[in-house]
Amino acid sequence: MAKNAAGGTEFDGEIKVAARVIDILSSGLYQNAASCMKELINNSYDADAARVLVSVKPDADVVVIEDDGVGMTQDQFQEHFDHVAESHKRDGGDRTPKGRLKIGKIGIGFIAANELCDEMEIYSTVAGSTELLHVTIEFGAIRERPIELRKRGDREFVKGDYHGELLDAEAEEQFTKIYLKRLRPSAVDEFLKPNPRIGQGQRPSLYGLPPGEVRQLLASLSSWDELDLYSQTRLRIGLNVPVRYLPDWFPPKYAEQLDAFTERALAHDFQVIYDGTDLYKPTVLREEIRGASVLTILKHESEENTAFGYLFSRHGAMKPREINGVLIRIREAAVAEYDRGYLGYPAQLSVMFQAWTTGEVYVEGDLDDALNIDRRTLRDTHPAFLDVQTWFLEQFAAHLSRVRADLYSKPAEKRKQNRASDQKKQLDAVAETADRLLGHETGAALREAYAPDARTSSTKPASRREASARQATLLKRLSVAEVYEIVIEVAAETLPQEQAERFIAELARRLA
Amino acid sequence: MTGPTRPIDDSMKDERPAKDVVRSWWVAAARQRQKHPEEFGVPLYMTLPGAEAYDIRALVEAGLVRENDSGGLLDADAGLLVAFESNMMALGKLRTRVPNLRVREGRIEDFLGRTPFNFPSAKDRRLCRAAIVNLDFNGPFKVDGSGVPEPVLLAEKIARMHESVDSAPAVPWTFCLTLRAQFVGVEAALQSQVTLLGAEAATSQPLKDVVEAMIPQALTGDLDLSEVEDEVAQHFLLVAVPAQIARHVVHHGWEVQAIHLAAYGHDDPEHAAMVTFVIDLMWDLAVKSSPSDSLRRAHEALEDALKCVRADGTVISLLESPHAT
Repeated sequence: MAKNAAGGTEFDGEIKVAARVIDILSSGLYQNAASCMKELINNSYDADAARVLVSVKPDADVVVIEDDGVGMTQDQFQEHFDHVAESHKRDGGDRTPKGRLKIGKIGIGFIAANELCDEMEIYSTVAGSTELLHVTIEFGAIRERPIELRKRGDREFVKGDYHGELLDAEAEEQFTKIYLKRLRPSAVDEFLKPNPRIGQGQRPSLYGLPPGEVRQLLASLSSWDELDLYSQTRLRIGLNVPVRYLPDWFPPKYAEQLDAFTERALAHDFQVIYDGTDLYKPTVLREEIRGASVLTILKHESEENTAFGYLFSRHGAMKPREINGVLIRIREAAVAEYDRGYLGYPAQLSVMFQAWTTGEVYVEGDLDDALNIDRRTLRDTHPAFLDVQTWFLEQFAAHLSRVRADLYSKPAEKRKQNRASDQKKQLDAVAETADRLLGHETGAALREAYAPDARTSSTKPASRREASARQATLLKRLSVAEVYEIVIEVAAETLPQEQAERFIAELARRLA
Repeated sequence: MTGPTRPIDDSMKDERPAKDVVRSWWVAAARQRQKHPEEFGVPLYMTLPGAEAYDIRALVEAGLVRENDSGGLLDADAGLLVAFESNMMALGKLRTRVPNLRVREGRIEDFLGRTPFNFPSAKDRRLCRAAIVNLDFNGPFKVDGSGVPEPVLLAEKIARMHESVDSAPAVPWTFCLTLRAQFVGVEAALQSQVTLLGAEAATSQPLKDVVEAMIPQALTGDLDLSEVEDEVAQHFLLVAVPAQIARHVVHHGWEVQAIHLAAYGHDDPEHAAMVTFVIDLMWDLAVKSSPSDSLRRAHEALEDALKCVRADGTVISLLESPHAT
């Protein structure tokens, strides 16, 4: 410590982050089985796999994740796994040899397995090598061990013990096969448990369904909750990882605008086969019965980010409700689930139209730096986030204006016009009755009162204000009391007392 | 994404008419007992299918187990099957090839317990009460120091688990077993198998007749299992194994009837000489009180069950075959 000029004490130092923070952060990092599985599948994507085979059913006794990615050697395994969160995943560049932007950053994703199971077995080999890496990692016993016994030196904590061996492999093969064993009961429940809210024999499941039937089933749901937990987990995984869209996932009229998203997903050449059938993004855009919808394509380029997305709204609440909101995809992987807060759009504005909307935004650039370690949240003070947020909120507000105009105001006006037109036809029929019973002058007076344009339209079209006023006249609604009030006043003013009395009595009898 | 292959998978993968015939027997056995799952609340079929799962495919093709359009087992039928696989990569392959197939990791011998007194947990015992138990080993006939051959020990343990438990009745079942015609184990224990067979034949005329026709050396003690040729090894196993299984289970109340006792592979230079057994076990408490009668009936059934499956898939009665010694 030193003394300053005034004789006071000065001191300097460094503020460090204890490794314990990583230990804490990496426990309970993932909310559910789907969050854990998507980390492992995204690892396969980063390994340039074209095909991932996942097997969970029937009892999750062992969960299998096999990919045909580049695999790893013993050295690579130890480099990535010996020190979690010190991974060198992006040391060799931001992109994989296939050109994919790497999703993983610090190598914490594999810890997801720790949340799912007590034991993990890995087999992996790289092309050109005749070595097959076989590693068994024990999480369960370590997890139960007190913190003092897990401490190594001053700064490290053990998450799992592993035992490895090198076996023989065919030189031309490359793969990584992961087997999750001794699954934790909560994970087994999420993978397989039927939906307790739905009775026996009524548990719709996505298992084994071809894509067309998956699309139909999703389009019929109000919520994914209507499916069994197996299907919900499957949907949540599909939502996150860079798999393809379902065939015909949007109304055909939007092919020109939305085909680009289908092709973008296809271009990654990444297929996940989950219990025998393809995993798809679970987004199905459907219009409500009247076929009205609004689509906005979003594009953004700034120094920090490039973004590409869409917003889709239909008349009525977006269903299933899990796709209501906006989904941000950074490097093709979703950030959590659909955000119904729309990146901070005021909740009180256009509440109804927010509920009618879904959208996805693919972002590349610095937003990745704003992604927190949980991969579910973004740092909302980060400049890259602010950049995307500012742009998005503007686009969203414009989209909602279109929704208001195209899906709400215009249809409402149209409905009003139709009602006025119907009223006019009915009044024309009444005027004809007046012609017949009371003479043409009476009929003409009636027509003049309710539809003066019928007489003048050939010479001078009605102004918008006039038309609106006439429409209001036609659609005017009166209560029974109001009708009596008017009729009594008119009868008193225009008829002798005795006729007025008779008129009112007869009217009352007929209207009763 | 294949990983290294194993001899057992290679062996099962081949197009082999002889193996197809054997699989057709398994399917026939499963068809005969297809009502068992409903009737007894047990799985239909327990198996060691290998990574290719040809026997399961055969059951699907026969319509005994249903699959969806994507080739996965229907949820409603997933409970009919139980598979065991000890190799993790083979297990992965099996699970991804036949989605929704229940596969237990590990060796069946460990699952059942390595000694006569260890049994699986109550929950796992239910899996072992399958109507058909198919142990298609690619390995040899093993005898440890106890003198009880491993397949016989397994058959007895599985039979015990098919007996009545709590309020559940005993489940009649079919035991399918396939072995390589080779012997492994303590030499004295191995050789005692010959003595045992000879001694048993001395007390049972139907067994003696079959032994005399198939392996007369066993009656005189002139059979050295460490030096026998493939065909002699096949013939010894075809008689000794069912005879021993019968001797071990009749005391518990099981009536044993051999359906197929067949040799194959001996005429195929690319494959090992094998033996396969399809044996029905029926529960009858009366058997317990007169086991010798039951044994005699079991021995009488041997002659008709003995067969040879040629490489081209033709089946002939073994006692009429030119290969019979």
